[in-house]
Amino acid sequence: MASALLVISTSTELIRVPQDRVIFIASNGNYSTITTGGGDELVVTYQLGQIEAMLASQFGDDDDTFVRIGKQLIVNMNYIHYINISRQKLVLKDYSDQKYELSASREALKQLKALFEDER
Amino acid sequence: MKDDNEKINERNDDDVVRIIRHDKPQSGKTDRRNDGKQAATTTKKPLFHRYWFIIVLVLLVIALVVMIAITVSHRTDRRPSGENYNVATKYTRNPEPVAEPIRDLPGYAEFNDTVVNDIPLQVITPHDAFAQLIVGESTVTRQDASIVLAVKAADFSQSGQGEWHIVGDFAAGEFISSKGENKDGYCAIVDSVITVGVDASPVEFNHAKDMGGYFFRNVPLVKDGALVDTNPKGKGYRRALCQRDSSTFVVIARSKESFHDFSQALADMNIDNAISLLGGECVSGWAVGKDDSVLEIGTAPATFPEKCVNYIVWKSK
Repeated sequence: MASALLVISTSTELIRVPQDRVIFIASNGNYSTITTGGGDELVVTYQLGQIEAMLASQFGDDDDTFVRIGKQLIVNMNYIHYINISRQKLVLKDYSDQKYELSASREALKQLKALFEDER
Repeated sequence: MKDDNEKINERNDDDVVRIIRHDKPQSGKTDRRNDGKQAATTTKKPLFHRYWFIIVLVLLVIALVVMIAITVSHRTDRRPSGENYNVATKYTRNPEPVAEPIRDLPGYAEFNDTVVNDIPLQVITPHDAFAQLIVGESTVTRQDASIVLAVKAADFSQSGQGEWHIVGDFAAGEFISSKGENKDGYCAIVDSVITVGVDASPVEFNHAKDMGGYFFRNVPLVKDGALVDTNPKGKGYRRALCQRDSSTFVVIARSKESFHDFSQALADMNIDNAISLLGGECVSGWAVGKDDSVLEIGTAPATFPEKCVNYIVWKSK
């Protein structure tokens, strides 16, 4: 089955990205940078909070694909590969085994770890 | 020992973790719950209702106060006639020494007064000068003899945490920032070529950053010869950075005008693109004429946060 599409529209552009291609989205001041599989980056003229609202409205109520981590990140849960709380390290790994090393607060990583442990 | 709720309240935004679902609150600003579960929203509804009721009430009171203030100011706002309207700018002949030797440099600013749609305007055109963006009040000094025209450029604002920042995308060499609401109007200076335009996309900002140039944003006034009418209401001493054909100049309203009237006047001057510069009555810059006369832009003394004050400055070649 084809993956749902994230559609981002501005006054001059329209971007369509399959949900499972989105690895993570990082805040970049007034903009957000969407990193897709293979390490490609798309800069969009929306703040991260606005992107979060789009994800929530475009995907279903039962969709647990994305998680907001702190002020800076939205991460695709399916690609979370490694969490190290003491080193504040979060590593994502996409389907082509490319790794993305991110950083988040200890408290956030603790909660994220607990989230996965609860799911087991 | 503190209970769990107190601990949650102490956590800052960096510690928030929540799964993004359709029925979750989306502001991203007020949701400090961190349990990753969505069920908590249902029990909070009555509290939110009360909260919103208070906010609406406060907004209504503010709106009432603003309406009264506008009515009172409208009654007292009488446009002065003749020379008396010139309160936002001031000419000085033989002022305190700006710096020596100013006349050894070819650059100067040309001043022209005009009236468009009953709005008295001053047009300041720099000649034999190149533009750049400079941050810091103390770094733009009248002792710098090369400065032909200096005028405050991007707006600045205070965050909820009391921190001052320049509003919108901004680049001046090493100083790069992108905070607060972006206005669509922009000015980019790359390789000494100045471009004034209206575009919300980050393309020009990224280009200016990459090229080590200068960039700031402000309220758009004229786009491709037509006025842009999506601006804040109210009247003030408006200033604009304008481009017509290949010429770049600053236009100052010498009477208080709305953005709409000011933009219309600029469009009627056949200006191609124009964006607002920091306005008001406060000291905002100066220009040096060919005969050493100095035009003060804004006359009311004011103190601004040093790291946010920014000028677009034309220096003599």
